[in-house]
Amino acid sequence: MHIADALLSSHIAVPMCIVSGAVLALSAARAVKDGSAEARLPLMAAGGAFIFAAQMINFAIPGTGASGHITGGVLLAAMLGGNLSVICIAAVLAIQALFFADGGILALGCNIFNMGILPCLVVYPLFFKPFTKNAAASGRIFAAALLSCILALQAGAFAAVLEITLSGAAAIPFRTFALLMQPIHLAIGIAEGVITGAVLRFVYRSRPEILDCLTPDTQKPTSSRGVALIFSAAAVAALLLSVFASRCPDGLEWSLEKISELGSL
Amino acid sequence: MPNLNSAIAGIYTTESLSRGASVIHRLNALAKMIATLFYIVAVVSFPTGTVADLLPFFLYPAVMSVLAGIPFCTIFKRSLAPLPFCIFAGLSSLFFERTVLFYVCGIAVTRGFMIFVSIVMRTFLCASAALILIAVTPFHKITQALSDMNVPRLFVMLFEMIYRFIALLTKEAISMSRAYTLRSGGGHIKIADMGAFIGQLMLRVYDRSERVCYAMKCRGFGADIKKTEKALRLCTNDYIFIIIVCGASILFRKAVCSTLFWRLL
Repeated sequence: MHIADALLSSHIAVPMCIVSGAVLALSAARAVKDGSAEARLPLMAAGGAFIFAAQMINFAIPGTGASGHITGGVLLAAMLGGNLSVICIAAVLAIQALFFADGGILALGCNIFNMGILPCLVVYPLFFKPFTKNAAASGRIFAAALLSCILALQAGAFAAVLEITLSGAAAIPFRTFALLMQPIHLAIGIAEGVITGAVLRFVYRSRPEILDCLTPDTQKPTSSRGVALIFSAAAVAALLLSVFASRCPDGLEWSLEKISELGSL
Repeated sequence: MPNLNSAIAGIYTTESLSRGASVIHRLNALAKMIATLFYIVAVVSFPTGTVADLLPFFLYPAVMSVLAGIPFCTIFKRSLAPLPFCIFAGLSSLFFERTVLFYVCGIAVTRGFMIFVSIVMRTFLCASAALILIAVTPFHKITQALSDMNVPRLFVMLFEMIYRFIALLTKEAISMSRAYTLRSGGGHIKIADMGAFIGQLMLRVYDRSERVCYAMKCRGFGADIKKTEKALRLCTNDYIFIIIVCGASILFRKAVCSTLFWRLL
């Protein structure tokens, strides 16, 4: 799902860089303020390296001729929580963009949004954590991981389709693109969900204390989760609404046109 | 494992190129990052299907490779990595955009073909710009430049740690894989064992990273330490470099060169 620079235009890439940058700054500030950053630094570094390695390994999707790799957002979020995991994912994507040209530098904003913000700050707090909060069991964790990964991959793929279509870099129609991307990422999401569930189930049985999804949520409702939701909603709304942007002149332009017509007469 | 091994070797090979002493290597990391970003924005800002106007932009990777003494074939091979997804997007344009633009030796050249070629060219240009940046800039200078740009300290620190921990994880993965192979009679890792294998790998890397972090803390490292390195200052050469790259990008973007070329013809 790594989008290259060539598939985006600057009027999509730059705003997404700003949105993702703002969310990252907020998450970092929150993590440093509540002390979770220092306490979980070893796990962040280990998790980040692990996700980097996992994203390098492609697996074939039977029947499609395509291959995919796990994104790891839900796995990291389950261990680190939303704020720390999105910073980890951003660092991993930055290393991939710089050292492997896997995803562009300008496209980092979009990639961080699709593979970091959506799984870690939207899907994880809205679906995964509530699912496992009250009654944690290995089966429940597995089911939560599977559902969350499917949702995260679908949301990320849909966002990627929107961003590329609105950029106009490729001539493929939106509907066709979506119909191609969503089913493939459903298969990838199921595979990632199974892997994530299996790993989390193992960690739950061996070292449950390192899982964030089992710790009570002590944050107030107006946490970075809410702010990230607002940012995400704003970004998606801006992208969607730009499709319906009217080509007709606004009031000022209409007035100026009329004035120039009168002048020419 | 061979994929991961070669990917890791790729990272550190690229880093070894950054230890040169050419005029490009001696430039400030911030100057190189600004120039690279400006160049990428100029490349992606062209309208869909632009081909001829992108040709002057090939001067940048060519000139930088020569001045920095980097083998161009290394950059070229690494730039091919993001091509598969871009080719998929470009090939779809061949089917959806069939407006004939002109004929070459009796063969119709459609708008879809021009879009395809444009996407491939942009992918190569953007990927090569990112790889050249890494090949001429040591990693610690990049992180220092990020700190100077007031990127959150937590992100920069994590960026450094993940980069170094990748090697640590690779060693653990290879060791565990060898142990599994020796105990299982030489077979691949079974799907049923995948969860335990990956979970165990995760926990072992976490334990090692915890020991590394404690060792770092004993030496005065902490998540809340303020930046202590002196800020990198731009000198005359850096400003000249930025002006040349940004100025040339603007000239090429305005298609001045191609217009002059066609007028001369």
